[in-house]
Amino acid sequence: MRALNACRFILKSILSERATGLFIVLAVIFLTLSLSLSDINIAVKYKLLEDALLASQSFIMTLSAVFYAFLMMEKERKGGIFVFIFVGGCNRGEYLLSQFMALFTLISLILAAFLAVDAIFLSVFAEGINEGFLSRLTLSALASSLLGFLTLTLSRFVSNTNSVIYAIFLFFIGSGADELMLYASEENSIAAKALSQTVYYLLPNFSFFDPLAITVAFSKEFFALLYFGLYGSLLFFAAHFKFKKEVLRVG
Amino acid sequence: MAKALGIHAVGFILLFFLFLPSPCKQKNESSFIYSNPLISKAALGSLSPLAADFAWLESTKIGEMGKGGTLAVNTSEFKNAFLTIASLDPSFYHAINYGVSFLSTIPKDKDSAYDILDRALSLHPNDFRFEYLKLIIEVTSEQPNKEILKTLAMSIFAHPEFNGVFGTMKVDDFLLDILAFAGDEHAKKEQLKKELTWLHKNTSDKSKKALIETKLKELN
Repeated sequence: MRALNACRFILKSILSERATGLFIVLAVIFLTLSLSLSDINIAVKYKLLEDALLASQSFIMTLSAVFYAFLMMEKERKGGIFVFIFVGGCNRGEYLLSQFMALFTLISLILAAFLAVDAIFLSVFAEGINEGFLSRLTLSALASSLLGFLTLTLSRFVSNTNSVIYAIFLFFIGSGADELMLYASEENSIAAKALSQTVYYLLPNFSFFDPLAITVAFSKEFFALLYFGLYGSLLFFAAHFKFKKEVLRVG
Repeated sequence: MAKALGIHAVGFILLFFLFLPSPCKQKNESSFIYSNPLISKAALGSLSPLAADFAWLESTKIGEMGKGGTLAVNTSEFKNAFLTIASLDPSFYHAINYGVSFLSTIPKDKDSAYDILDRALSLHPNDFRFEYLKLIIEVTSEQPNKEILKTLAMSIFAHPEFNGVFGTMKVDDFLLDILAFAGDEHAKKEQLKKELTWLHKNTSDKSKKALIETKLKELN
């Protein structure tokens, strides 16, 4: 319960930033641009509109995950937000959990808003929202949340700015993990094969959240959810391990 | 921060050189997207289906721009364009269908069509439609390979999503005919031998018997 209250407090604090307004403007611009493509027929009706919506909304979710994770850490290290939370009776573990929960709730809220807007626009301009579209956008939200978790965890080990840089780098590498593996197998290079396998199995593999990636052994959606749960927990415990020994300072 | 940026710059440079397309390959293509589609897909991430849509819009012009009609279209350029689309969005069946149908019928380049289908199948292995396209290309080719036909027909039949219909066409009988056509040559020979032996026994006409005997000798 204390973690939930702390989560609500963090969420209010980050959403009150001016950047939230800018994200909404960006989403409206992307939506308008996507709708301007709705009349172009590319063999499959409304494919271009759906792909444009998915690409732009995934991009916004990715951007907001990194930005808000960074903002949370800035508020902690420069604004001392943890003081208010610890006064409320939370311990370090609950505070960390509330940060992860706030980020996940935020991405879920963005996803819900996008789904509501898409349902309206796709019903008016196309044939409504389909299962594939729903699944792709949800998987993208999970990938964005994991990226946010990764930024939060890395910031426990390095500075806030560096954690953003490392997280973005890992996100790019992890998103292309399956393609790297396929490319390496086609190239027949031992170095490329070894590198691609290391990337695939050791680094956070964001390609599991790509519905167009090479299929895993069982249900793609279920596997992505499972991977998100497991890797998210791993990141939380790694962050907790470091955070419990950290000397808290403001400024 | 400078240290982190430095590490990443070195990382990206290493990756770039490891997966760098050959200078010759790069020179032949108009952009990095076409010269190395898999790396492009990896870099584009969730933007890749949108990039595939634009690649498709651009690629359909290749046929229109060919000087001297459709036959003069640059096959290699066409293949690379559709290989890129198959890599960026392997679920874009209509574009892939157009590309492989063009390649297998106009320039009669079955191998290029197979390259595109194999790429689509490697990235989207559960789509039996690509296997069906491959089967159609093999059947309509000048020298169909019976072994490939049999494997493909069996695989399509065994696919859990195949219910005897392809698009709006009922194709299960067609697949059975393909299987019969591509069936085991040895078993077919044995069956024919049995039938000819039965005919030989039950025929009284001497000239027909002689003809059957000759055929049986040929079969043995």
